[in-house]
Amino acid sequence: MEGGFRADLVLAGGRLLLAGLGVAVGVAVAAMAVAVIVGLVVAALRQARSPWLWVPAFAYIQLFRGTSLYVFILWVYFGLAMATGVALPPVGAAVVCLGMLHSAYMAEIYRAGLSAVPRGQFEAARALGLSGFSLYRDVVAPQALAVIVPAAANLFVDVLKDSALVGVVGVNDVMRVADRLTRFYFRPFEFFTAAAGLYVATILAFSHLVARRLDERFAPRS
Amino acid sequence: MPYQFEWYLVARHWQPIVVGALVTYWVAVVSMALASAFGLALALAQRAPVVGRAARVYVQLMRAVPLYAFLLWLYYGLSVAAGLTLGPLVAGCLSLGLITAAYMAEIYRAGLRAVGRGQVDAARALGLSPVAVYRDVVLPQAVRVILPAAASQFVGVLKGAAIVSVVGVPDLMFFANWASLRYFKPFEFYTVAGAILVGSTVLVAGAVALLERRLRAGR
Repeated sequence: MEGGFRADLVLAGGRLLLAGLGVAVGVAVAAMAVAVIVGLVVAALRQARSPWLWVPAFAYIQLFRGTSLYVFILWVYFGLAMATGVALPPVGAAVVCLGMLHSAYMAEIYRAGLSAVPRGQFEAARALGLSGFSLYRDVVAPQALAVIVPAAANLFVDVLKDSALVGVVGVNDVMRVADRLTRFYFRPFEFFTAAAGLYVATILAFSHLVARRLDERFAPRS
Repeated sequence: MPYQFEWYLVARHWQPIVVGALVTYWVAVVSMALASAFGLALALAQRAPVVGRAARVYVQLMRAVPLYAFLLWLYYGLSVAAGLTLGPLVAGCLSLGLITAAYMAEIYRAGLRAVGRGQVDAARALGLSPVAVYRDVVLPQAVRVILPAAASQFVGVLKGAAIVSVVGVPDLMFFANWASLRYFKPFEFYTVAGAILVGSTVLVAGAVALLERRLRAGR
């Protein structure tokens, strides 16, 4: 390779790359918020007795767990936009698509969290005379969250990794910035190494600092 | 003017759609084979003293890197830096396989750990050779844990295989991208490509669920 690893070029593009990382993290956080909210609704519908509610929720979960972001985002951003005239901006399409895909996983996480609370806990709380709200706040939530929070933290890592793709519809995230810098300087190795390194550093930092602390915070107290 | 749906264009191009889907499946299967072999090597290496550390670092790193970033790094970056030209298909399978290997290593590790130490001790005490200990005692039990996890990992590989067209693998999405531009009909082509890919993953996921149920029933 000519001139070895041109770290000076990476530094020259550093501000753009960091801005791209900010965009990627922002998209991932917004998408995670969508997943947390939509996932809760889907999980609630999935628990319903009426087949008119649980069958669509079940289908939603199966469908989106099997969908790849690349296919879905192109379909929404180009296909659906042309067919219906509903044109989302790139960031909007990215957040909606990422959020919807991961809301299916989030729904399964809620379900796993609720089913981790033994039946006897509900019965005991009722026998003690706790109201419906207090039952959930004081008895069910602390136990369910011990399962839900660590799993959701893992899911956020997946959301952030998946978000690397949103540049294909024009979001200026790290990967798209690296791609454009590569075209400008024709130094793909430097910029793609920097981009991949930024993801790895962010994700390792998240899982070792944030996720671990969340796990401890919500771990069952004995 | 409302959008004019032209589904007959899809019907007219059924051949490249079928071939593209086969290419996508092929990428997924080859990547999974690579990941299964390399993942096993990583899982075994993790138990060794010196290479163990390198294997653990590899697993940590690869689980933190996005497939898209690794694919572009491998295809554009490394080929320029190292002067080796990887074809799109090789780069696609390598990147998907090398990342999945890290997840497979964790799956093997969990499978091997699930077999109680007492099993190995008992088998040794019965006079079984080291090979027989693994072949007849450890593996049959570990497989019950490994197989369902590996199968659901394959669903992830199948989803990942959808992106390799970004480096030019002539798969289903590559054709859908091309045809969408050629006819300016993205809805029809992306819908069909999406339906085929999602249908495939849902089918595989259903098969995985069945497999899990059968293995659990046999326990």
